[in-house]
Amino acid sequence: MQKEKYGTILVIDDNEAILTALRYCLSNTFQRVLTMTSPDSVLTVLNQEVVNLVLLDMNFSLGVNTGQDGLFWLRAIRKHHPELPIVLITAYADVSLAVRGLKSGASDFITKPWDNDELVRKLKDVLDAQNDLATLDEVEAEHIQRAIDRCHGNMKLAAEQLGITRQTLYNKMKKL
Amino acid sequence: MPLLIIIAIIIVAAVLLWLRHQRILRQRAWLMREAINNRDFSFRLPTKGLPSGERAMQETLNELGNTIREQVNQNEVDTWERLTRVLTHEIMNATAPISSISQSLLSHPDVKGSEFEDGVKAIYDTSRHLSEFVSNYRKMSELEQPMLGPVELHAMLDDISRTYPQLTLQTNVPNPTTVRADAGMLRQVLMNLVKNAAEAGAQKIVIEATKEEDEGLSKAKTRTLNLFVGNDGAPIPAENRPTLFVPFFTTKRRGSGIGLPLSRRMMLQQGGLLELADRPLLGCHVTFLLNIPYNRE
Repeated sequence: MQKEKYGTILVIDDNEAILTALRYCLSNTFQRVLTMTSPDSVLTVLNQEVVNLVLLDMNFSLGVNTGQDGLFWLRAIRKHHPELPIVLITAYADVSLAVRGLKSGASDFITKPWDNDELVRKLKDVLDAQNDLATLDEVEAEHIQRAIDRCHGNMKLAAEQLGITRQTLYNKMKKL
Repeated sequence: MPLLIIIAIIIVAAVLLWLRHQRILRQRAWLMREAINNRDFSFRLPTKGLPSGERAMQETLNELGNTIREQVNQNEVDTWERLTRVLTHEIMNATAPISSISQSLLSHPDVKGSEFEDGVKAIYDTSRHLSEFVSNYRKMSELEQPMLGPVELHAMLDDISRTYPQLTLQTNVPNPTTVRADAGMLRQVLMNLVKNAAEAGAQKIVIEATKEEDEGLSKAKTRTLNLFVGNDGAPIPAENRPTLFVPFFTTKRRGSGIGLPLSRRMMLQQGGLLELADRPLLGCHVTFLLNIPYNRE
């Protein structure tokens, strides 16, 4: 049984062949595949269309756009649409750029060339993770663990920082 | 009168001695020039019996030869690195749409089982092969800084010999022997040599270490250990020797052609060397020479 398709994906890459490849590859997974060869008008498009995921190429040829690089556009999209997940397409050896992209808010990245199935899986994971909301218990457990790590195992200090008594902390730890 | 004759004889003798000395120096210069003309920068003329000024000159020339050889090797490596980086980038960008579109077409109902399937599959397989082939060279274009530290050589060789139980490792490397290298890189280089030997049908690997005696470089804090790694596998034909360390060149059917160039580059990055030894070790058909720095203690 095939799950119903995901919504709309916007692909931005200055290479027409790559746009064609991605249109073929993603048409079974997404209702709509929108493509652009330049990010210059991406903010306008995002204001007009409902887009669920952006696939942004970081490997622009010089002079094709206004000279602003992929990171600039990544940050611009994040600023105006903080809820919109962005996945980057980077050149093969450009892992450091991908890492910078992740730190600037990208959800994931793929390198050229890619495997179609792996790409689709990554995009699905990004969208699925968005829909999952962690339970309160999960959030609490994670936070408690983080506080204990930060205090290097000092329970008294951790309890103080969490604003609870040491006994309460021990009780919650027992539940973990 | 006899005094004048004695003085005259002394002067003539002095001039003759000086001329003879000049001829000896010219001979030395000729030897060095011959070596350089044959692109052999590893000449090392003896400094015994030379007066102090000339000994200093000769030592410097010996050192200079070594420096030139290292520089020539490094230039070669740098040029290949730059070339492979540019090619890697372009080829990977270009194969991306080819492999993706052909992969999509392969799962298309009109192509699956049709007369076009074989053709599309061939396109897909070839593009995948090309990108895999190129991804091996990605390692050549990444500039990884080595993390130098003390490395216990005997233990590393022991470890490697256990990975290839079918080979007997005969070594005279004392336990312990500490060199200064990047452990990961050195291990990769040694593993590569052993792997090549195994693929060439070797049964025995001989490893011998000698410390390089540098008479003149007594002020140097680091010296180099000469590590000879030989095997009794198929010998390397003379016509393959010039291209042994050139990337892309392989005579193996399934070879990637980057093992030796990458190993040489890794040795250079650690301040060492990897070369084919001039003379093979006893009982070996192929011998490599590694120079590994070690701290004088």
